[in-house]
Amino acid sequence: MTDHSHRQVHLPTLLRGRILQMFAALERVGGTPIETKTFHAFAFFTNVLSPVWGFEPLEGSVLKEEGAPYFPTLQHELDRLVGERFVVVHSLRLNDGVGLEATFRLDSERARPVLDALAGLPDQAGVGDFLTELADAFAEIDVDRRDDAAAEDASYSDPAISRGRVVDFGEWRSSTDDNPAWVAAQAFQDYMPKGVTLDRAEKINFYMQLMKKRAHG
Amino acid sequence: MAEGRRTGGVTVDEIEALVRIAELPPEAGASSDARFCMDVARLVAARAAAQESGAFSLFLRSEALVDDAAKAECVHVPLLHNGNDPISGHVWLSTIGIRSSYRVQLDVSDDAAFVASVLEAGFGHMPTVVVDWRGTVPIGRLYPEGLSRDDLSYQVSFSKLPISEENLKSTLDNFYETVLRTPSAISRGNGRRIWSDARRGVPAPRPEERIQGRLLDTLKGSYPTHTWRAEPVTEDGRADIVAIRKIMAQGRPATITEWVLELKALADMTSTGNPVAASVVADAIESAIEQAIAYRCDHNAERAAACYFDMRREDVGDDECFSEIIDIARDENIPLWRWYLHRSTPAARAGRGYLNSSAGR
Repeated sequence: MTDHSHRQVHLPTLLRGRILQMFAALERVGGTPIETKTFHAFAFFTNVLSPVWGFEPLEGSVLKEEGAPYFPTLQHELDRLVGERFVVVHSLRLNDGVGLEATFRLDSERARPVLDALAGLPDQAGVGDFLTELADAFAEIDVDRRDDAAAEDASYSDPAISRGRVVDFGEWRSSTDDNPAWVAAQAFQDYMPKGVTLDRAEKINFYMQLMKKRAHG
Repeated sequence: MAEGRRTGGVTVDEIEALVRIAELPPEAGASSDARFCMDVARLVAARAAAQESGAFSLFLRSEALVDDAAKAECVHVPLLHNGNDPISGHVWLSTIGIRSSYRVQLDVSDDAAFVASVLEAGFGHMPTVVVDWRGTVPIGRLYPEGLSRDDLSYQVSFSKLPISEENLKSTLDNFYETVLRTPSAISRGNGRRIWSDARRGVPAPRPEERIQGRLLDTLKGSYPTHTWRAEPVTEDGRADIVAIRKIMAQGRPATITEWVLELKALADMTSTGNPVAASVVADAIESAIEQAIAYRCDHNAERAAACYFDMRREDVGDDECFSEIIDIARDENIPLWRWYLHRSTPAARAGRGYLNSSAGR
């Protein structure tokens, strides 16, 4: 079985673990409770920027629609985790024209054994640090601009990809050379003074500063 | 950036424009505790500017804020990070970024009271920054394993003044005592191991890089008003840490490179268990000070120090270790600091009383 097909077969399980890890990172930086669409925006950044940290995205493509990125498979697994009470509905309100909008947070006590087990797996080494780095930078964006930031991402906003088409940043294409977000994150190095070599955390941080700037207008 | 690779919806002009106005992010790569120290430092600076005074402020770092707040009587203070709420005399439950905070209703009237209150409330395990407002300037202390482990703590300096040699040496000494001195200390907190096999004296691959990573994070948390960076470790084991301080120059923001630290691990075995010749170790001792001099020049830094982490079988002492370089170090005003890494806790106990002091000064 190829790496890609292996990942596809096990995607629901991998996603469920990753959702818990993402929520833990957001809890750690004060980014919860979080709305559904904002969580999808954060999930998008974890996918499109994971190659900067050195690992492949769990979901390497998304359909480009009006507004911010949305992952149906992620939502399905999130719904399951809510049903199993790993993720808790913090609030629910009726938004005219939109319907029910929920905010979520992690049931830390229930999720702790799973998170500890994941942290001990060799292929999860570094995931926690990456998610904390990204979550802290994501949380610097105004709450009502975080979805916009995802829509402004270099890959998602690529003018070469029209609405209704798939944005591929690592599904079938290279998650580095063919991923404009990865290319943009690397490009910050080109403008650094002599003797300064950016590490991956600084590249992530600069990239998210740019997303914040674009989202805030 | 290779030719032909696209940046999609972002232009290179935007990237360049951001770099022109943005500063190197001091929190990038920092641990949760180091980030929290930076956040507390920012808040303390805002409150000091507002003439805050009092006794103590305690900041407890939570990883599950709503759940933790439910365990005690708390008041939600959502805008604490703005710096407009008085913070002394209170215990604060917050997260990285201090983006959402609760004031915990506990007695913090004196240092005995606040420790007991926090332990009784069940928060003794939480990483805690204690701010002491009683002097002329606020002083901070991080307890990374909470107040239940008050024997494990680090200073958190809120000062924006230059870091003195004495203060920096003290911080590095504390780092050595709590992180490096014995193999059991090294393994605390899931840190990267420095030894592959401590009893045989086999270091882990690239020990300078591992020490650099842990030391860098300690320095970020201890001096949160400075920006601390490390360049990638070179193949020949050159590892540097740089401290940058923000200043105003002719009414405009500028930076000064205040300190460069050249790190060198001295080992008599390779990471694959083969012996290292004494001449190679001697070259490493000499190259560290040469690199410190060169790096200080490259960065136009105010000060430089050569930091040696001695992993050899025998602790030869500073005089013998530095005999060939002590004159140049003195002439160049570069302190030589060395810490001996014991291979076991019994060996460390036996070695107590033979702590190494700085040389070359």
